[in-house]
Amino acid sequence: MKKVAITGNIGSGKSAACKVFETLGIPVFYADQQAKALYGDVRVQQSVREAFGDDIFDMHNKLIKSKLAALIFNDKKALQTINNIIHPRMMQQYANWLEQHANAVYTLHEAAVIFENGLDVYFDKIINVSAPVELRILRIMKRDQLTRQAVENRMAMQWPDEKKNEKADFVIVSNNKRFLIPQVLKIHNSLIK
Amino acid sequence: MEKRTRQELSKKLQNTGIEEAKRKKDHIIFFICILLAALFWVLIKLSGDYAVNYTLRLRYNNAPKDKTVTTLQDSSLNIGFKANGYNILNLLLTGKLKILDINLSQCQVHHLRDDIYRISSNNIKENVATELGISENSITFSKSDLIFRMETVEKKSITILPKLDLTFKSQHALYAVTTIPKKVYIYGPRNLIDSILKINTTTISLKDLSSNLDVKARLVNPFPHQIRISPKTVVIKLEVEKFTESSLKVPIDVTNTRKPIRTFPSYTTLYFNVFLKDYNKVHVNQFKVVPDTKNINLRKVKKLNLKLIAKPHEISNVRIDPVEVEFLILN
Repeated sequence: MKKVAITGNIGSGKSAACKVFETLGIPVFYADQQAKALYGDVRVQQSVREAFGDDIFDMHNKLIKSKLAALIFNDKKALQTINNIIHPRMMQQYANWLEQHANAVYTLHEAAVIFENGLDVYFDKIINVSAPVELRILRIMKRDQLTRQAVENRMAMQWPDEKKNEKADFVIVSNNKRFLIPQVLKIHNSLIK
Repeated sequence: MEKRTRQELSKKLQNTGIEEAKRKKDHIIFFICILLAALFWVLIKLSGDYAVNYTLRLRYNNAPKDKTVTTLQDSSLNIGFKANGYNILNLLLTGKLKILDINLSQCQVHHLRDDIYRISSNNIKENVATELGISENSITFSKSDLIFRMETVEKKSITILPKLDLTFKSQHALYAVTTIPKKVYIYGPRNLIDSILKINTTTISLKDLSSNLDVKARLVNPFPHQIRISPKTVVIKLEVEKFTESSLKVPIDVTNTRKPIRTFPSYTTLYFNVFLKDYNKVHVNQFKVVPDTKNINLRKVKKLNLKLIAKPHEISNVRIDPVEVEFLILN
């Protein structure tokens, strides 16, 4: 079974592409969603508390996600720290998930940061979903009700598309002009050969 | 010597002025005489008798109760009469020689057939003579009979359509419009009232509305001579409300497509205007968005247009984004 990663910067349209792959019967591991769920894990919370202090927890000992986001999207060191806490656990979950889908022709691992965290080595193939910067900013502002500045701060932590496209095996252009499905079908056919 | 010449010149000028004034006075007297002569001539002429002919437009009044005159076969009548100049001048000045009012309640009306009726012109001679202030014997009519259609007056309750030309302050719009009463009665011949489906009000023009308003409006009678409306005015109640733009993520319904398909994305966003008072009444399950597959070969197109086939009545100005989606045919 091939392990394929599908990545792309924030607002690039990864999820839309993944939905097409799912329709084609390909299992998709949504790493970013899994990571978010991990923040509810007591052991993860303990590690986060040790790294960033009590200030990012509310009076009910609940992690204040907005505070954590502000911290990690403005400080590369903080981002690295949180990655070190989350990624090993998340990759363990991924390994378990892969076992459940051992019969699939290939599986997809969807994550915004693959290259940035050096995770590309885990995968046989990598698909990058690429979209123009301005379009991505508008999509995220609309989707997450964020200011332009907040979106730009998040984007600053990610590699530019050009760099990711160079390293990726396949590129899906999601610019509202090119059709998505034919691009996905082409990659799918290539992966099942 | 020089002084003497100046005195003579002054005297001469004085004489010339007096002569000029005298000449003007003579002219005025002459014209007054001419005018008086003309006046006397006119007065003498007016006192004489003249035979004249006029074409009068006929207007029938006081039709029998529950009847109305609908069509005039004879809509005008040539009348000849003799009268002295004073009378004729008076009739001309008072406009009595334009329209001849026929009071049907004072005439003997004969039924010819169906809705056709007749009155003898002789029948109205006395009335006309009285009306015109002339001798009955001197009147001659061009027609001996006057024929017209008179139909039974029927009653119908009818809806009012307020005609409105309104502008609103920013983010305000017309929420509801009602009239009091909601319906009015129209009275007239059956075939005519059956052809009327609604009665309009006069156009009400109002600007920059931001709150409720009651306006009195007159009803427009489409056939003022044949139809009667009661009441003649209504009160238009304008309910003005503030609205806002809202949006909802709505799933695209593919359950009724000819072939099983999946769209990408499977949701679309609807942007619409909704009045603040209805904001909480609008829910996603009131909407239905479907891909338009009518007359489309699914194997030949890459995108399908979305159409909104159900929505709550509380919303307006709906926009779909995205309005077209990619799709896969499922096997």
